[in-house]
Amino acid sequence: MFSFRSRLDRFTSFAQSRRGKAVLSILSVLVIVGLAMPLLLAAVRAQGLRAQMQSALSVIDLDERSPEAIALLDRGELTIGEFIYGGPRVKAMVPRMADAQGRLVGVDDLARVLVSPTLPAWAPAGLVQSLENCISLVVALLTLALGCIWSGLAIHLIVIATLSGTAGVLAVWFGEVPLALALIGIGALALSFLLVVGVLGALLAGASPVFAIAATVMREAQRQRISVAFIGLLLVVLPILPLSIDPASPLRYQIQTFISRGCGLVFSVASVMTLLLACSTVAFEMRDRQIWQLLTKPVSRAQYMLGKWLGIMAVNTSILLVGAACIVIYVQYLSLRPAADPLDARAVREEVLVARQGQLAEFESLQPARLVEMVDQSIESDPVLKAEIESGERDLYETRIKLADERITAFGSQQRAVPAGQGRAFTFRNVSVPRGTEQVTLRYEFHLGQDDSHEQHPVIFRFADGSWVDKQFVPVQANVLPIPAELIDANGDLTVEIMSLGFDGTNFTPGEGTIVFDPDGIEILYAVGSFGGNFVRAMGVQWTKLAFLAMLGVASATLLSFGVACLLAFTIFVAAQLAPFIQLSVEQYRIAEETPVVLQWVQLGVKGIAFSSQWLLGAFGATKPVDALVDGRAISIGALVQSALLIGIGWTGLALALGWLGFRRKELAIYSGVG
Amino acid sequence: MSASSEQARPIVEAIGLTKDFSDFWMRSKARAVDGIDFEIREREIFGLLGPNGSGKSTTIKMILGLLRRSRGKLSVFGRDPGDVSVKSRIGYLPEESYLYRFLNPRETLEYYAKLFGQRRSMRRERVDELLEMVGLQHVAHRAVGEFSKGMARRLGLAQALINDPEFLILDEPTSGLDPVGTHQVKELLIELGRRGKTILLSSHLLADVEDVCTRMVILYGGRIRAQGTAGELLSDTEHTVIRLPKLRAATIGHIDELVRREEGLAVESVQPARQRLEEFFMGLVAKAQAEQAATSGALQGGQTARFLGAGVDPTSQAEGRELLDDLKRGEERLAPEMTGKVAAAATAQRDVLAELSGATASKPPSSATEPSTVAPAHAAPSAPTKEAAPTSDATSTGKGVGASPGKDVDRSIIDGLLGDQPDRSKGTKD
Repeated sequence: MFSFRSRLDRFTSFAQSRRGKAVLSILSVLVIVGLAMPLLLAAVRAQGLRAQMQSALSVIDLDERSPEAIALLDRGELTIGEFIYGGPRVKAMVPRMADAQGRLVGVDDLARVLVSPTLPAWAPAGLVQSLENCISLVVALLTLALGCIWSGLAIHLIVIATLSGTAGVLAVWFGEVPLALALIGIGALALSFLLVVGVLGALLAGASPVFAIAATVMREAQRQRISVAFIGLLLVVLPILPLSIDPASPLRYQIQTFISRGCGLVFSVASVMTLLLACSTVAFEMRDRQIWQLLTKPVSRAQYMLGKWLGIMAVNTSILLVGAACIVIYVQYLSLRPAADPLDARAVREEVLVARQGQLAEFESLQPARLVEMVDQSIESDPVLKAEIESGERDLYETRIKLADERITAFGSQQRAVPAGQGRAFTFRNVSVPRGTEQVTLRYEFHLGQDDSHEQHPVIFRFADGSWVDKQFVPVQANVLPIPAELIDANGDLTVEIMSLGFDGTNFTPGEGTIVFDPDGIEILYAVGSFGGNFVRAMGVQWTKLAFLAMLGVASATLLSFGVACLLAFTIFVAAQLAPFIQLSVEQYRIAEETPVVLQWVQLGVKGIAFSSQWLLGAFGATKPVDALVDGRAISIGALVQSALLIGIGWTGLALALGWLGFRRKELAIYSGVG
Repeated sequence: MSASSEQARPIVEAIGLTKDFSDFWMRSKARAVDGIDFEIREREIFGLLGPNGSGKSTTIKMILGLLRRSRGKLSVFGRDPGDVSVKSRIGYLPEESYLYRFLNPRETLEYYAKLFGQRRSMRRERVDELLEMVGLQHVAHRAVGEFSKGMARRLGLAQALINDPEFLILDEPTSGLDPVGTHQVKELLIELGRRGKTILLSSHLLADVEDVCTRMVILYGGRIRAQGTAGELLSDTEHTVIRLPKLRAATIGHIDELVRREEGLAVESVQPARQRLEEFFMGLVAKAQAEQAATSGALQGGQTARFLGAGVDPTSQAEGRELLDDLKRGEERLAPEMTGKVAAAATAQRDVLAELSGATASKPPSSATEPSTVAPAHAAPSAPTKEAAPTSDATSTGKGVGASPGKDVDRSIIDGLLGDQPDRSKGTKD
């Protein structure tokens, strides 16, 4: 054992020397390129074959009934050289991929489907189908390996790479390619985390109290069980998450599910770890008195709190960076896998991996004079109600308010109803699409009758230029309709007429009932940015939330013990996350008149607390960047800036100020005499 | 301002300092410090003594700003103790070493050095020197959580010195240390004092304080019971102690007769001189180290770090090194203060010796060359080991090398009394 230890020490010294680093670098390059060579060669072959297929498919005209067209339509086959590719699956896809002129659209998707059976079974389809991705992967691995070697993590690199690599190879041996990817992913993620932490630690190496405290907090996070457990959980579960998604489900669903679960996991783990680490690093230092030796140095209490916060945020930055990289890499990998349905692939590109802006329809509003008239009319036309008001049994003001609410609701519902056999036009204003946009998407979600999800109902959409399209919709389910962008007028307005009608090919028939929808039931969506930029903004919003949680934990622990600080911090966190739900509940909360008075006061108190919490913390829960990512909706720079200012600076600063006000007067030494 | 007063400017001033601890309802629960007045001057080693619960640690924590005073005035370097700028001039070792278990010694010292804004090159140099000084260089990369109490204490001392403080506050610095470590700490404190540091030493180990402090305060129940130098507090003007090599019983009897005749007093006690256990222990360790015996514990520390008190009188530095070197060689030498004290006492006692020995004594000086010195008169021990009559087994050992008797002392009587050669092997350091 002693001999092994001394050899290990010698190797460690060698690995940290300049010569050792150079040797290990060369070895790493050789190993990585050597292992990646079969994948690269397979990718080159696949790319060449796909190019040939794309070239052949692009000249096929299905209307001409050429031999190639007939082979494609009748058997789903394409001949390249001496080989025939395709089969029944391609045959089912081809009719849906032709435009009005008989030309094939989505040739690239079709080519990928044709190439996929030729790929080696051991190669991940998403990688081998893209040479660029293969090269990017090799470059990423080389960067990771060389970064680890030159930042003193050579031993970690060797141990982790050996363990995960061996496990991956064994998984491939047993035919479990997804599991192999997951196991190798765990190793890559762990090394990436260590590397990022090392880089951030180097940035905090300056000789100042704030940086020194921050760097020590980072060390604490890596060496204390409480935080290592969370970080380890994230690094292990995140790469395994794809195994929980059904690979047979639509590609769009797989990607959306992974984004939702992955981002949710990263934020949840980071949040809980942030609160626990923030509370423990301060509370335990006070309990164990390390703070005595610290604050008898030239360190102010504000510097102490800032240093703790900065260290925790450095750890969070590492977690977000590594987690985000893992999610983006895997999403890109998924997006390149051949979709069973080309429409599915198109939906992924145009509705998920994109940043879209939404515009709701404009509805007519009830004029105040008309509303007053309607309310008066309602009272006059109801003798019982009128008598109760005159006798004092009902309060006139409250009755008028209630009637006004009902009239407004009814008017609004009427605006959003299309009776059977009729049509209504809706205008979307300020649809400012970027130049070069070819189409926008109409998202619609209708209700009809009992909202039976097993039934389909007809609807026709007519546009300003007179063109129309008939569709079938399922109640309550979200549907989409692509609309040419040229239908948007010069003012940025788009008008769509919704008609409760069907078309049987010859005649128009009335719909099966009145179509109704919610205020956000119809919406125009259009791309304003890329998924990558949107993802970065989403992570930015998450970071500002974590910044607040970190300072909340630090400030709580400066005044309270660990347990009480955790209780307070977690209570605020949960209240903030649930603020939208609490707001909804408060709006609908009614105190029954027959409840005993004492209980009424209690209920009133509860309502007051709930109202206060959602009013104070509403912005935290209302900002849901992950939901936006999953729906392919844009998170604007304005939203990011607002989150940064309000939550990142405002709330965080408030927590710092409140904590400092209490902390600066706190006596840190404990009386240990006899009272 | 005169040179002496400039040298002795107060670092800490407390006037009517009081600390009350309150409960949650702001009711006074206990008065830990009750209206104390004291001053710690520059360059002195100030002792804060008292039993447990006397208010020592509370006083220190108020000086450091960890507690707020309830009443009275307290200033450190002329400023409020809570002033952050003052803390760059202070080093503090608490009663327990509250270190981060997940850091190693090098990381710990680097961390604290960064808090003072020290640049990288300075940090590295000081960390290396301090680790060597406290004997932890071979465990520099081991986590503090694996340390023994003594090793943690050494590291605690190192972190207190990382900023080369002007004012060093040590609360029970020898707690948890073995005798070797205790001795080294005391030597270090003396050396630091000689280099111009002001030191506040709090301890309930009286011997430690007595050995190193120039002035001290004794607390009990939050109040000062006594204050002054060791000489002022401990001098016993009622007794004289003469230390001699081993004497025969008959000689002792002659001495007794002489004292009765000349002074009309009787010798109160004659007892065999004993080596202090610390001295014996240190001698043993030095011997083992000379034999290069293996140990898995902390190594014996090295020299005092160069950066500590740099720029002070090199003579004093040389004296300090010489002292440490002497220690390593196992030679006997008094601590400088003790030498000073002994010299002062020796001068005072020369007249007595002259009287004792008598101006007309003409016996030739003994061939014994071991000089005898007169120890300062100390207060009689609370439970003196007295003997009714000197016995044949009574021995006295010669005092360690140190102040030699003055030239004007007639040693003829003493030499006459001294029959045997002094036993060199039993020569010890006081």
